[in-house]
Amino acid sequence: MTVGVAAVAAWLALAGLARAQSQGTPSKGYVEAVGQSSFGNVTSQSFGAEIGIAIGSQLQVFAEGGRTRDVATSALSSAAQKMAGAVAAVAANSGYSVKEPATFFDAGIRFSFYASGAKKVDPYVLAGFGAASVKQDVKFTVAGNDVTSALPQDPYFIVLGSDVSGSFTKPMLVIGGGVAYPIWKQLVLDFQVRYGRVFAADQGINIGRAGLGVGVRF
Amino acid sequence: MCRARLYLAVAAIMAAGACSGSSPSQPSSSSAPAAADATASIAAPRPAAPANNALVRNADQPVTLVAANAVTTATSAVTYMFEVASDAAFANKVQTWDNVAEGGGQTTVKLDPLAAARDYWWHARATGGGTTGVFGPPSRFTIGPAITLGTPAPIAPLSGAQTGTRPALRVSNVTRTGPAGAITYRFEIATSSSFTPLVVLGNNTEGVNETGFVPTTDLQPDTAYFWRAFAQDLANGVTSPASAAQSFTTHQPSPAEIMAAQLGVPLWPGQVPPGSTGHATLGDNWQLQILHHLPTNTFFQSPTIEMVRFFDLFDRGFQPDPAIDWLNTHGYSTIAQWYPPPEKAVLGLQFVYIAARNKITVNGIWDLVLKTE
Repeated sequence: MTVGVAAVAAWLALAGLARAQSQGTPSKGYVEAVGQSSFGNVTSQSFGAEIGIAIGSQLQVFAEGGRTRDVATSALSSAAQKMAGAVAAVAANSGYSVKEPATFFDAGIRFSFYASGAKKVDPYVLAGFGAASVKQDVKFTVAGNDVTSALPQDPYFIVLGSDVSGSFTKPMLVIGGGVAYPIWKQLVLDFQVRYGRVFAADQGINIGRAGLGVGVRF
Repeated sequence: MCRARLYLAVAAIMAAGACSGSSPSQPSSSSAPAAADATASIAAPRPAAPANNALVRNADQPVTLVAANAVTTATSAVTYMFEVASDAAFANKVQTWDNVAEGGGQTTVKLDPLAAARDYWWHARATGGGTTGVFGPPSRFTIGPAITLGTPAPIAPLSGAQTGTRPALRVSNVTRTGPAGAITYRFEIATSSSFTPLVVLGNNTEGVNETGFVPTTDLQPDTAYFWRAFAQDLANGVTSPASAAQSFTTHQPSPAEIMAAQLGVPLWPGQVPPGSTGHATLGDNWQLQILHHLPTNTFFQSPTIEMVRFFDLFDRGFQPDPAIDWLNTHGYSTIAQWYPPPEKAVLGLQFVYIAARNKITVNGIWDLVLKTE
């Protein structure tokens, strides 16, 4: 529901911007901070930074890095739930939590629909490739206390496999697009949408991100 | 105005992310397959049987260990390892069973026989999906002491014996080793030497030196039977070998045999008269009693064995005079005198008459009458 409201509000705002577009100033590049909502098996937040260097009137090389707070897959949740059942069998008042934060970095090409400086509004698409480091952060609790590290011991006798514990770094593909708009001198807002896929060994992780970047052109 | 819309869009998009907490979705299935490249998680199998601290009778070996299956995310085959040790720390393992295939819900392994009268601990672990789990909680059980029972020796009836329809089966008590509990004896009677089917099955607690059993219902008369006995320590689940089977033939005792048995005297210690019984009927006063012969002021037990033998001869179809003759000529001397009808029909003995009721001597009824002279 909140996503829908946000999308409508963004569309209305951008529609107004489009009517107000006019010529801008050519730039050599940009740098911006990004805040996003992330969408996948779970919804979460993502934060990061992005930099781009112009290599042509419509092409830029970009690089971004960031962290998505939770990209937990259904397989991870299911496995965690199963082992939580084993904990519950021997301990009352037990619980568990599942998080899978991902830290990523990728670089690629950003293509603007208009030549730099030709229009004030700068719609673009991009594609990049990089890597994501994903941590499977599953915690088991009994009476509110974290017993994850004690699971191999009495009374649990549980060994967690790499299906619910540890971390891994895998390649990541990113595609996306957006609209950049200068709001004051060199200050730019970047309405952006990104789709990323982490090529995890067990189950590929899809990460959708929609958010806003605030940066400067130079 | 334009800038205001821009700020609205920024706020809306950020709100969407901020309002969406990090929350895992519920899995669509309870199964949680571990991926090919990921190792599985395993919660160790837990002992199900024998119950912790159970006492297992030595006679009940071999012991079967039963473990509730491990909880695992493995999708490949899961195997189990069972360890049995003589100490709680599993420093002295006595048996190890590995690569035991997982069963449905529970996984079992039948142990080799263990030494008796000792405590044992066991636990199990599972391996699957690239992960070897930890051993589950240990469980303790005790094998009871080793007890052996000797073979009961038949005392009576031995093979070839003729018995009543409720013979007393007797065996000598068995020898035993180990801390045996209370011993009982199981007696079996059958019409075949294979003891299938059983006709009578009875139990009795051990007596002094020997133990007996008397059937509570009559066996078929004039039938050949076999019998044997076992000694049992029910508390420890130990049963002896069967005694040597013995055979006997039942015989329906005649009235005279019954009375002789009551007197505790053999009816015919020597020669046995010919003929079969069924030709006479006991009349009055044949019950065991003390009578008083008034003329001589003599008290005596009635009937005497002599009276009983006369009745047995009548029962075999003898007439009174031939009966007197048969006794006198076969080592059972008598002073009996027959007073025939039509005046009388009585056999005179020292203190009593054996009187033919209604003076009928063939298939007649014979009463005992106290003499008054």
